[in-house]
Amino acid sequence: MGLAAPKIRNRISNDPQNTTWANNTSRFGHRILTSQGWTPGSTLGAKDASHAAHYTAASASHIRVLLKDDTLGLGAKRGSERAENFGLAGLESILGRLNGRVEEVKKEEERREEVERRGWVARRYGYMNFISGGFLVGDKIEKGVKFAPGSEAKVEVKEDVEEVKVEIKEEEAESGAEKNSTKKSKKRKRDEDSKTKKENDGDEADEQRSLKRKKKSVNLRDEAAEQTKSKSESDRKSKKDRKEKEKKKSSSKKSSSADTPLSTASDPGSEKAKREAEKRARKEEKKLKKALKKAAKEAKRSKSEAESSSSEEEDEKESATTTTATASGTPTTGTSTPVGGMFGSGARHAVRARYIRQKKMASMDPQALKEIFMIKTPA
Amino acid sequence: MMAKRADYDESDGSGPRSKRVKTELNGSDNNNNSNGGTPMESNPYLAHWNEEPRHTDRLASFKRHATTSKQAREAEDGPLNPFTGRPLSSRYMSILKQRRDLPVHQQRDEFLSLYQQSQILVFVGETGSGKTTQIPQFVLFDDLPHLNGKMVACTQPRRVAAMSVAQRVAEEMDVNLGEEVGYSIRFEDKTSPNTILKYMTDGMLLREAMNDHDLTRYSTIILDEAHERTLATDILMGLLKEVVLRRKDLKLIIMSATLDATKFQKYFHDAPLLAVPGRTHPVEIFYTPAPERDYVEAALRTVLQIHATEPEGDILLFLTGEEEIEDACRKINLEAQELQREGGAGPMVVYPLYGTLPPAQQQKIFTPAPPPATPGGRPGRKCIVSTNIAETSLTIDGIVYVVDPGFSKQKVYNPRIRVESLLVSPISKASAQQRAGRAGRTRPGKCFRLYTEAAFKKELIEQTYPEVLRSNLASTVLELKKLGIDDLVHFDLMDPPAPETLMRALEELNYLACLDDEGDLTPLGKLASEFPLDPALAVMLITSPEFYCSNEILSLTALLSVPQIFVRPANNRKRADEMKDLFAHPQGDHLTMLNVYHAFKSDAAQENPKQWCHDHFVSYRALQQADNVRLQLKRIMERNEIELMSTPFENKKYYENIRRALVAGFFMQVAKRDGSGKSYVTVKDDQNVLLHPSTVLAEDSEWVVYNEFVLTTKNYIRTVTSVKPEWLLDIAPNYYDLDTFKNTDVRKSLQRTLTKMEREKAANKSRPRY
Repeated sequence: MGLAAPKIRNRISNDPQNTTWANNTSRFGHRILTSQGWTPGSTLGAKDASHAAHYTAASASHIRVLLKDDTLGLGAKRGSERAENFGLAGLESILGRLNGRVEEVKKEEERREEVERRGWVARRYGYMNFISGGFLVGDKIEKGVKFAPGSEAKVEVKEDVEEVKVEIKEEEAESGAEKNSTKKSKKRKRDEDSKTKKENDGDEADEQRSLKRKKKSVNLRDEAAEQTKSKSESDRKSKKDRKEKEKKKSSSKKSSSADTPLSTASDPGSEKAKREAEKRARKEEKKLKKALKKAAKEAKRSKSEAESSSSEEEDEKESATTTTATASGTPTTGTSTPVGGMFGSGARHAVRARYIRQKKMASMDPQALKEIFMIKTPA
Repeated sequence: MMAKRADYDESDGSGPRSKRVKTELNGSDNNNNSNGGTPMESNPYLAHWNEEPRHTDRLASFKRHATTSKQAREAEDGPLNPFTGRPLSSRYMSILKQRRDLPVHQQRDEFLSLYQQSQILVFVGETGSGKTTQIPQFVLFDDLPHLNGKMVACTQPRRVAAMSVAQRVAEEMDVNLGEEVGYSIRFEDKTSPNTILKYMTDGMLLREAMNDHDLTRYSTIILDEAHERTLATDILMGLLKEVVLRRKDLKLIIMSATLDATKFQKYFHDAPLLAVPGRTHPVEIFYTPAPERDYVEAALRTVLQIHATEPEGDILLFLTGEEEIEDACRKINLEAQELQREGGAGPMVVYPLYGTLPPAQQQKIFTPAPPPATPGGRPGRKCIVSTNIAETSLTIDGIVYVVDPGFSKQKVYNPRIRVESLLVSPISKASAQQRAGRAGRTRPGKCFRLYTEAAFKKELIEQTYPEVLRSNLASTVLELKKLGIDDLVHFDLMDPPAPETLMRALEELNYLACLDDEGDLTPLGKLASEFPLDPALAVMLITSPEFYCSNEILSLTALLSVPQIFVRPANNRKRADEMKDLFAHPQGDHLTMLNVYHAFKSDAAQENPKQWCHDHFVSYRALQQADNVRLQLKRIMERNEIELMSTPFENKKYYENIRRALVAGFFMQVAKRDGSGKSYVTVKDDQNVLLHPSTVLAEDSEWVVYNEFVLTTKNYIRTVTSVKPEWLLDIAPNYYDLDTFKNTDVRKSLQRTLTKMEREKAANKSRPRY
């Protein structure tokens, strides 16, 4: 904090943590708790609670929160808290070398130099922004998968959440399949029991059957996806893959629900339908593989992009005149990075631009011209 | 069950037919089969061809805890309402169609089989799955509570939710609200003897449990929104975990909206879990590549950028507090107008949203986005700037973009200095995901997080801490004691509170004489637990007749349990302060509040109370609410035979009595001036504090009692009234036992007062009596 910042004077109490109270063991509360079998240092709660693994630190001692009195963003540090500003960066690297971490230190130094160079360029000439136009493959430009919201190739989505979702869905699918089989047998029995009812149940039964088929095809696809997964080499890829699968599943659910009326029209439950389902599954598999390849490519591309853009951003921050952050998240969605900021330097230009525009408008408007030149006209 | 049915058949003329239908539905053999009629007659779909069967027939034929979704579907299809016997309206049919499209309906059979098999069930359904409205109805068709005089309860953390959901479900079931479906919230009970499904706040169920430890009125209890982990829900879970062991016939369903259900499952002895996917669309998430220096500015920038560059769709921005939100709204408005004029963007309207906003203004957020400025021009959009109430409590359709700076105001309690305050702190990962999910309600959306991915991973905690870890537990401990739980150490909470927090709560209750020295509930404690108030307030209210001012203390208690009554709009602060000075009492803020209330109740003000409040810069809503609370508390006082009285206003002890009564409740919240300056020191906890700038205290007062300790860059005490040290020693001798004090200024001063008092007493004694 510089000298110009407002001074905050704060008086700290004699005992801000109130240790007088905390260390006093003859208090009523302490007495009651120990008499009920609590020992200092342990948490409360049932003995050998089955969920004890889920307890957080807040069960042992009250939650400590830092008083936030500024609008610093999450994870940001004040400018003066950076190592470079104290000349500590040099010391850091010396210590690092002494500790035998030469390689890391070197990398760090290079990174810093790079940042500085970029910063210098940005300050001097300003930064140019470009939009990816796809890759030149052979002699054709391939746009790749477009990053529309909701499209398959999503890089930023949290993976663990997705995973959990997938797991649950899988469980469902399994249990659903089981259910279906039991239901089927029950159904048959009941059909035999009451023939009169059959008529009314007709449409419902159809629905059931179609549902069954849907489930089956999903299962097949699962298998297919499983195979491809085993083929995939890297960890990252497999994760991707699962995501894909889930996406596919949801989309296929929709599509299958759409094509159910068709399949119910053709003879339900026959061999043909089964074969058809298999065929469809195979097709799906193929499609999936294709999509996978694309996604992998895409991921690579976006990763490199993200890296470059992030370093860019850092520079921009340094120069403090151009836009920050949020801009770089969007280029993939088709919005271009705004060059001049909407705030800051932009404001001055905006004011001037408006002034010029007003003048221009006035010169175009005959009424205004008349007023300017004070020409009297008959009303 | 069987016996009951037999009775019913005897009293019913159309016995055979009803039994015929029953065989069809149950699929089990029945000796009445022989007198079945033609196929057409037994066809349930053609039931309306026959003479009207009694409505309960259909349900009476159901076997409790052995029904299937098919049976329930048929009963739902009508033509008569299975619960009331009245014909179903066409509106019902159209709603029924919508209901069957909800995701939960697909898994009705699965739900029923799990529900029937197990006493406890954990149900996970994302928002939009229809769990809150549908699951209780599924339960009704299987549990059949009306046949054995029981009810199904479904708890909600919020009063508004309980009311609105009950209304919706009443419509869905084609019954009048308050009849078969009702709700019960604090200060309002809309149920009848016919009620079989009751929506209620979790706090209400807890209150009921205090008088009926086994909750015998209910056959199934559903705890909804358990993931919010409110104080009452947490305690209910601990309680019900024990109750289900005692009552084998009670079923319990825990409903949560988050995927982190394993904790619930573990807690309830590995109860079965059922998960239903919600109907949400994918949300693309963006992080910033570098941390932001100013999250508010970054948020504004992002909003404007979205407005200028992204396709149609409404924006939801999360900020922390009222002031920040109002400020942001103003700025966005200005910039958006300029953007529309200069940049050719569409029109944008901005709405603030926070808890203390009047309901009428809260409703505004549901108005659709504005149309394009010119026909065929850029589409308009709305931007809602909200606290975290839009995170779970409110669902706003049409939101496609979410801007999340990663902060919210959260309550924390420090037992050591006894401060409960709202502080801006980073949200949790779960919270961040919830926020992002808001973008995918109606179509695929985008979430812009104003922090880096690394910050998301490193700086955010996994789950938001439950309320039980963040609150003063004095009233909770009192409730637990009333619930018959004596071993507080081993009470099986999902997240046990910090030991120090529990100790503080016990000590406070002990000083208030609600607990005796063995930790058992005293008669005063029992009485205090009758009041839905903080123990200190309850004790103040109960002891107020001793000071001849229970009427006034009742008003004051009501005023202290509603939001801030003074309004101080940013554009008119000076006038507001002038108006406040009209009511100011030199001895303190409590008395000032009382003056406002008395003025509000005067005939002149009651002619047009709204205008009066507006003119005097006080909140009409808060005062009205206080009026309501006062009425409810008065009823409880009358029930418990606490006398209502006042010292005559002309008596010079009128205000003194009130101040003394204040001390009787708030003797633990006293501060003494430090030396001669402006700063004060809290008694016993030795914290340096300042009087809040809003105080009207004019008198030079060495000792003050305060209502609230506010933690900001400086420590403030708010709502203060001056008191005399003699009263402290006189009214709360236990707390002001000088041996327990550290040798500080406070102790010396109290010691002086004590010797003075003793001397006076001795003098009084020695003086001859006339």
